[in-house]
Amino acid sequence: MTSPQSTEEPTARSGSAGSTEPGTSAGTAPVAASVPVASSQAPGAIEERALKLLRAAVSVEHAAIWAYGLISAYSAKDADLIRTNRNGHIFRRDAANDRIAAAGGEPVQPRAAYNLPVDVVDVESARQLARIAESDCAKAWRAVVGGTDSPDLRTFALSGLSDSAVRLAMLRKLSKLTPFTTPFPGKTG
Amino acid sequence: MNSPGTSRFGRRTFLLAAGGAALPLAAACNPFGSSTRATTTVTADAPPPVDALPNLIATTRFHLVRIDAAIAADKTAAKQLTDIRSDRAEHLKALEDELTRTSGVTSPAAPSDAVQRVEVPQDPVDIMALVRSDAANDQLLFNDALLTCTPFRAALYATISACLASHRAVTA
Repeated sequence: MTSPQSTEEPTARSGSAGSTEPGTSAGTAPVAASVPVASSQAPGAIEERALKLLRAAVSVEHAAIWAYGLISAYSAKDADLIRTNRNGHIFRRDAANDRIAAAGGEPVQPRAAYNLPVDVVDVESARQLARIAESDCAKAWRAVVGGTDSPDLRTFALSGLSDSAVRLAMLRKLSKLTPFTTPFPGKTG
Repeated sequence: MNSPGTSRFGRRTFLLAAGGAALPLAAACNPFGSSTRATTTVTADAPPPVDALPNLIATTRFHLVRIDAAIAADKTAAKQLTDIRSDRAEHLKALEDELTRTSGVTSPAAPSDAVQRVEVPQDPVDIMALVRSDAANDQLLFNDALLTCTPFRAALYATISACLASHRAVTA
């Protein structure tokens, strides 16, 4: 669905930088899915390769946020879950863009629209799109973990990966698709 | 009656001679010699970093045994627990493969069934709580381990940690 390369305009984004993710686990998981991230601390320099992967992850987060906007139109009975998931992606995108800006990079801007891998026509196809969006995010964050030596960035990316894995599992549970979980979320192939 | 001048001279001479002889002895140094002694600081080598992988393999194996016991004890949740067991078995295989790949060492074989038998609660609610607790504990181990390992291992540990997070969510 998503392409990591976005046609971003280099303008500054003023993202939220709270130390906890607001409301992402309420609808998807009753337990804390990820390790806490202290985004208030200065992330400092990021290796060039990791910065590229981080920008790709932000692009995928942009796409997920856009997708959830579409999903909400077809899946009204999942409204709470969709809102919670979308808020989680907004938080992650903004926190990641803050890190990019702190490292001297240009924050990634969203595209106007994205190609859809499925035709969204009803509740189930909307849920399918949500699952694809979460899977894409998990892949992007796993790549960040494996693309940096920075413990701080690894921890941050792990949070993104864990959150997407939990959302994906809960979406599969909602659609009664077994098994609900996958052994290696974000692993390609 | 003694002459004062003669007495003062004798005492001064004695003191100068005694002081001149005692000073180098007290200082225990030879200003014209060359010392061959040098002060050296020896810093002990830091111990090699401990590899977390064998411990992660051991805990994963133990949790698999507990899940097996939970499946046997709670037939109503057997399907869900079997799916979780399948994930954990894949984790164990990936971790053992990683140990073999990096060190050429094959993970020690699991103990026999007799040794592996563990007790689990009989109440289904308690059983699920135990499974969640094991997942949470293991998740922390993987979270800690991924901070100080190679990027490849970090990605492996992260994806297992994320899976454990999803186990906690679906069993809640």
